[in-house]
Amino acid sequence: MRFFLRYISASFYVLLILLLSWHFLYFNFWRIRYNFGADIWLWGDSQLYQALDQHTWNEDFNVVYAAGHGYGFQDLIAFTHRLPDSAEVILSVGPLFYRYSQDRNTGGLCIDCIESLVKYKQIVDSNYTILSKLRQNMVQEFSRTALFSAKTSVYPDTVRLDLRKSYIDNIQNIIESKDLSINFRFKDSVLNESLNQISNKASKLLFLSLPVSGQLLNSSFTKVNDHYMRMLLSAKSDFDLDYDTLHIRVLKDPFYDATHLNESITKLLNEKIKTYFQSMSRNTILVIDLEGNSTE
Amino acid sequence: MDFNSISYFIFLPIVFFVYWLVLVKHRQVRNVFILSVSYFFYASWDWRFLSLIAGSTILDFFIAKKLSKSTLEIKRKLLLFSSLILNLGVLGVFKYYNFFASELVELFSLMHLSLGDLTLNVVLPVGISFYTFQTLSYTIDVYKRKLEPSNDIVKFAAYVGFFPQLVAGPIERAGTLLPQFDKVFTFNTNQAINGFRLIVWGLFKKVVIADSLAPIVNEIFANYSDQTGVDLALGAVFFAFQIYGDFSGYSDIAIGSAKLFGFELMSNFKFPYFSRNVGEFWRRWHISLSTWFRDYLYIPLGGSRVENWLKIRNVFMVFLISGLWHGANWTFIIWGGIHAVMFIPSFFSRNKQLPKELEILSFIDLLRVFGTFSIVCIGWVFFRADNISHAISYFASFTWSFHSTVYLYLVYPLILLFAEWQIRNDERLSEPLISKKYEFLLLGVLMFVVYIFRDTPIEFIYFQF
Repeated sequence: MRFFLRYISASFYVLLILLLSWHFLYFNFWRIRYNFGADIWLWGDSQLYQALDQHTWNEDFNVVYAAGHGYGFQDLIAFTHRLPDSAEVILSVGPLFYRYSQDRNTGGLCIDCIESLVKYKQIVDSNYTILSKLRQNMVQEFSRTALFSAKTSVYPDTVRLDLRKSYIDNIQNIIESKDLSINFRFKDSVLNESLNQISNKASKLLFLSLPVSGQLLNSSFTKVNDHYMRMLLSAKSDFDLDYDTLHIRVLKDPFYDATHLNESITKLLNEKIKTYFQSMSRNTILVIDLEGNSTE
Repeated sequence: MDFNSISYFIFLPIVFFVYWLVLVKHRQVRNVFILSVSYFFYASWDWRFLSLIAGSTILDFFIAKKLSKSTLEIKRKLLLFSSLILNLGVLGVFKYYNFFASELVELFSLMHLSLGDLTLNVVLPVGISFYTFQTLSYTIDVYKRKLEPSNDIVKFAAYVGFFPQLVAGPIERAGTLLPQFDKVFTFNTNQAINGFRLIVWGLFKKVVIADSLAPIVNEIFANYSDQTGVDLALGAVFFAFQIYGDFSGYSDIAIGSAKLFGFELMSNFKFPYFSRNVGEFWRRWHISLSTWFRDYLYIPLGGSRVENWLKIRNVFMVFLISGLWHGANWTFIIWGGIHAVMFIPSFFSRNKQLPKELEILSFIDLLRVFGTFSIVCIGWVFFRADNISHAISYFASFTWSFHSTVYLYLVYPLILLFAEWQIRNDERLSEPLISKKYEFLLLGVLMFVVYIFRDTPIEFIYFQF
């Protein structure tokens, strides 16, 4: 038995050494260098993931597409630390960034980020299982268009009022039961540090503010949205950003649920943002305003 | 609790240590422990179906005892048939009822008669086909007086429910596995290392080979009309290696897990894609099922000691029922039919034994291996298709176009073939993969590769059967 246990332990030691080497070398050196040649580095949560179709963007640019459902503050920190110098960046941070406890964290182990994460005392939170997140990160983060991922990520033109209502009910419960100010302060400081990193590295930044449905804005979510708008204005002055609004006229409800745009509007939006990004000369906050985005 | 899940790799060491450090010397307590953890393992899928295994176990335990005691042939036959009807009845309700009910409705609708919806909302219990065949073989062996019935219900229940092979085989015979529950084992280091080696290798085949090919196969079969001819052919090849990696990987983990506890299970695969004809393929593929059908269906039907046309009928019956065993769908029956047709030529050849050593001696041999593999791949298209029209459309979409977008994925089958050729005469991996001194390094590397490739665990294909 003893020999068998020694034998197995030796194999697991080999596994452990390989895992640590892999994480350190792969994430912090090779994988990032592999992406150094990318035209655009794009980060956002599900709002961006559903709005900017990575396949459409990959047709024209070499894009590092780091966006997905639930991408949160840890992912943002990891992303900004890993940006190469002179990168061109599209960053989408919306009011959902101030979500209370649902940051997915697929950012994995970023050696450079540990200091920041420790600073925010969030390196190990209740949802953070280090091993599974590391593995997720290896497979998913910064992944390029896979061979067979031609299916778009956009939502269809149907309006899911049930999803919208349940989302609003849920978020209202959270807003009414939690002390928002702590979360605002904490997320503001993360965002400030991230913008600081980006402005030190990026040659071009488009800070994209995507809309949420009118119904959500008419709920107590407005407290979060008001804070978010104040943050935008302060970021404008702190980081010397231009502030612009892109008005798009919509005739019917453009939202699939409370926060995600549907197919028709995203087609239009992809083209407009591409054109805007190519023509902009200064780092800019671009607010997307859907005229006619009224409460149903 | 899949073999490729984290929970299994927490479950296995706990059971291992309790087994060897606490219970191993007390045979009866050990068997109770094996039974308990096996039922716990099964309940982790769906505890409601435990009653089915327990029911089948109790039924066959008592029927076998009565069978053994009885000398009246008519009574013995009645007992055997009651076991067959009850076991196959349960299997039939869960697995085949909806298929036959919908076929009946379809048939009547052709005559403009409506039977309404006769289907039931039932879930197929995991592993039901496997443990049903295992208990049936026990009853039949006792009926034939090849086997003395067990007097210990715990031991018998542990044999039926033994967790490494409970949900997807190998389908063990009572004659070989049941006596092992009588032994008091002492820890055998070589056997345990062999088990560990098999588990790692099985995981590699499942996670790295099968699961990497799965999304490509799904895409090609779902959008077959958009694929070029060469990609359609590759789709069939990839599925061949996906299902092989998946199922033989499962079997290796099962055999390896059993070895950790001192038990030996039968080999289920012997490098089937190196076969030179379909007959040889079936002596290398899913051996526990093909020998089950040989012993409990083919031979009772007369086997080879009958006229040629009866032999052919028997072969067809075995393959068609074997197809149906896999699932209630015409595609499986056609798959069985294709193998039956292609099996016949090798059936009449003289040499039906596997060679002692697997070697490809000549260019002709290589062509025969290639030809056999091509036939097997044609069968796999039916096996994988959703229905017959899907399979036919798949073949109909072939065009002479050699442009491929998926050829790079051939690296997975090639890696597997290369590795299997190195170990071609040792399917149980009883010898170290490399020098004994450094093998732990290779196993560590293989585990690392498994870790890298492991994304969302994909369920083993044979669980659905």
